[in-house]
Amino acid sequence: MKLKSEQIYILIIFGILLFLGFASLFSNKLTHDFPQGFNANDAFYKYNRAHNLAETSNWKNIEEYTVEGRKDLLQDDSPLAYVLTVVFSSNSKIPDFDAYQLIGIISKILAAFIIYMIIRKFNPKVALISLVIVPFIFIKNNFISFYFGWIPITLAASILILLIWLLLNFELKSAWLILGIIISSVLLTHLSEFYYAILITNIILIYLLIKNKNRKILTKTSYALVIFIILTFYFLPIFINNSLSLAQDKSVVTISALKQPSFPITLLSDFSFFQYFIILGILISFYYCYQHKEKIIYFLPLYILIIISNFPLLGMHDRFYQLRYFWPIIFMIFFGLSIYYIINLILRLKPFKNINDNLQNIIYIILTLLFIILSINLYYTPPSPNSLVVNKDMWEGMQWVKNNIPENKTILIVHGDSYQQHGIFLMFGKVIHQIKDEDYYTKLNSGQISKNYTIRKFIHGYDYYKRTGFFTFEPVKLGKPEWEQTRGWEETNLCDFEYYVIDKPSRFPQVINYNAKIRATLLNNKDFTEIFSNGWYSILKNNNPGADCLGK
Amino acid sequence: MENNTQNNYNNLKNQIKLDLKSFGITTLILIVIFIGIFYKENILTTIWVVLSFLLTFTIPGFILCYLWHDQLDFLERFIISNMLGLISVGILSYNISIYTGINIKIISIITPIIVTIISGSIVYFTEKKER
Repeated sequence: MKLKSEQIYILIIFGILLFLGFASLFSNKLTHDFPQGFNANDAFYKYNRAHNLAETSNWKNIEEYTVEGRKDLLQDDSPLAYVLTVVFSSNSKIPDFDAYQLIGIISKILAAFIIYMIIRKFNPKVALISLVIVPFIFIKNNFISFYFGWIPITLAASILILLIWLLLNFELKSAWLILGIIISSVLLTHLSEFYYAILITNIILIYLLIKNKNRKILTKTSYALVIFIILTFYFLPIFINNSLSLAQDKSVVTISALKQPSFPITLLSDFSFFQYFIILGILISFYYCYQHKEKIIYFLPLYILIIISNFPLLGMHDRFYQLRYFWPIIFMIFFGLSIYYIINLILRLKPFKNINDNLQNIIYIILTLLFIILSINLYYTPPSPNSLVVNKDMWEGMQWVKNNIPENKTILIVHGDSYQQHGIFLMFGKVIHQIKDEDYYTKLNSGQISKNYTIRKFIHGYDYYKRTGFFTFEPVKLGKPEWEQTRGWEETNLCDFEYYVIDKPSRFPQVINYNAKIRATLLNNKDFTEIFSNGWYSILKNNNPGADCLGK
Repeated sequence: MENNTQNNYNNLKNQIKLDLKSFGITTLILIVIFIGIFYKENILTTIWVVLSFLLTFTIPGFILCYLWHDQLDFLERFIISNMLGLISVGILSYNISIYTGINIKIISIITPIIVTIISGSIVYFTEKKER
């Protein structure tokens, strides 16, 4: 196949993937008034880290409004996905929540093409046909990582694919330098993929060392290690501290009874009709590796990733399942191999024996495009742009709180539909208080507005660290000592707060009425004024916190 | 010896000329694809988003990929350069941010330039060493 026609072919596939990933999710627009497709806690927690970095240029400390207003707690999350979001948002001038999704989707598309490059080196025809299952990266549960805001995992797994490409091209000039950069970037993107990266790197380098008996591989690897240490010098102690904490979490690696995943995962059956070709391809690959032992290197890293993505079947932590969102990419070579073998068998038949190589290439391209159209037509459901931030009014209200209420003021969020996924509280950008759902509904059912409600200060987590030196970390426990038992809930006077954020609409008329009743009751008091109002929120200011506000 | 050096230099020069053409055409096609998919967006915004991605990530990575101009074709270097650019710019931005505390918006502008310069220097010195 000529280079130029291959480029055009790849660009067509790129266009198709961009369409599948973005057209619906982004409603054919690149910039939006509020986040699109953010449907879970993590989406807001993670995006908020990027947003906080954009606002403060500080990645050393965690956002204070998620940790009771403390400004000295260590940000121990891996930074790369968030840094890239801010860099791209700043340069392209698109909102950071759009840039966050864009970085994830583009990196997953790139990962598919990098695998294509690997397969092309193995066999160009297998590579061509392998692109058939690429649309599955945005089909069915494989899209969950974008709804859940798992961009760091998506980026890290994409970098893992780049690592595999490099290891299979380790003869390239200055490969050690790129190895150092890639391993550093995996560590700086997501913790678990770093362990996979180390495992794959070790296995392939040992294989190359045994096969080539070339000690230069060891020298190259040690250079890469130096680059790695330099590039991750600040984060490395945090990683070691995180790993030690993780080692104490027995649920991560301890084998236990088989458990149900706590999030939607990719299953082989999601590939529907194509799954049979994938299984056949895996079987053919075993036979092929047995026949051509030197080619096993193309399959080895992919076998490892498939095994890791099935660890929870052995009872390990269900987070290993997250790698399954990359199954369409990992399975490309197996799918391509099976179709290639079937076509080859057909081409050996008498009527087809005289088909030349160019015609064969055209057949492969046409077949690939037909299969792609078939897979999209049969299995693709456009991803929904629906988010927990349901409209512009809601977003504007949250931003108003963030930009207009001074720090250290007490804010109570009165019940709303979206707050079940509490990550959305972070969008207020302030330390906030929430009413316990059960207590809210009890009071709602009684029809009365009570003096006391079960309320707590919202915090993201309980256990944090303070970095006291370059290699020293001091554990910090947030909340009162009894937090383990009470989870922070306390009977609190409704009148104690300085600001009240009240949702106006709801799916439930009872909630609309009860919230309206609270608002009206508070506004009946001379100490209260409404300082913001739109279609979604009413925000009240209490000029005399602690005094009776119910007029009783 | 001198002839070899001249040949290498000419090869790289010719490669850059060919790449510029391919890069330009690819950029145009990418812009058309983006405009088609994001047809509800202002065209200038879409063009700038594509160009800023290429300027921020692809070009720094693409320059680094000249290490392999005689080993890999344009397509492979173009694809790899996007990912290499993403991680290189990301890592350097993070390190500059952590060690200097400079505003991240300034870092966003200077980092791609620094990565491009470092990449160019690496390619230059590697070529020089080989000659």
